[in-house]
Amino acid sequence: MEFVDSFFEGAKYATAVFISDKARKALIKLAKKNRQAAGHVLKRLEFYAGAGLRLYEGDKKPIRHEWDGVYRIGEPSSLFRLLGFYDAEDKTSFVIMDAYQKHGQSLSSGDRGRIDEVAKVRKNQLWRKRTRGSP
Amino acid sequence: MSVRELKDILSQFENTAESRGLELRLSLSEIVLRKLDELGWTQKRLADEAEMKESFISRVVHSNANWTADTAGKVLFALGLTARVQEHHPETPALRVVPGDVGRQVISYKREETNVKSTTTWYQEAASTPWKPQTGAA
Repeated sequence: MEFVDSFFEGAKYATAVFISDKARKALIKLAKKNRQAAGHVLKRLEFYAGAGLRLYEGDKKPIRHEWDGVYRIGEPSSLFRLLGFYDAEDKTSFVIMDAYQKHGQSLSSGDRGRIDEVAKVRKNQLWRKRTRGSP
Repeated sequence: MSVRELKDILSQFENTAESRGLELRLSLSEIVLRKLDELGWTQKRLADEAEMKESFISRVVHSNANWTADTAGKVLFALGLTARVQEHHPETPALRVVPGDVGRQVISYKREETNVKSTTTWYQEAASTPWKPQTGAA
């Protein structure tokens, strides 16, 4: 079971964003190597949440649907990628389940495996929002 | 474990000049994407209208283009928009900022000498509408 924390939530954000421990750790790892790069990713994500992620979705746009309801959010300056899915049909809530550094422009088998893994978590609802008493 | 560490990283980044540049790029991207949706245009159509390469429009959309004011002007003109940057203080808001509103707060910074937070807002309007400052709290 994956637990996710509220990251960007409230009236300021058209899309609420939640983040898993795994994605959070990957971002902190990125920040240890390159703080500015991590800042770029977080600033971009916060801005998208404010405007609503839906605006940025689509072919030739920063948020791309991969498959099985999994979306990839790109950061062009560092090839860092966030993977997640919408929590509800109205797309007002998004869960970031994984984050990683890509090593090339095209989708590698490792990238595909990560997307499949996130799709599995989504499909089987293997995640929960963290509440008091959660691990 | 919490997300506080990530928020701290974000907060530190927001206190850099690089962050202000990124926010301007993100803001232009948002304005362009909203208008493209409204007009039902593709990025290719915008590129044609603005007489620019589609790859440049794609970089604008991805907030990756280090555009000049003149090139941003060409994109906005092709979309029939004007955009202005205005500094204002949150204590006396110049514009009510809500999702989907015509304007959006894009820059937030602290003035060290006065310890007063200031913000800069892009104004986005139809080109035919004369621009006038909006004052007063919403």
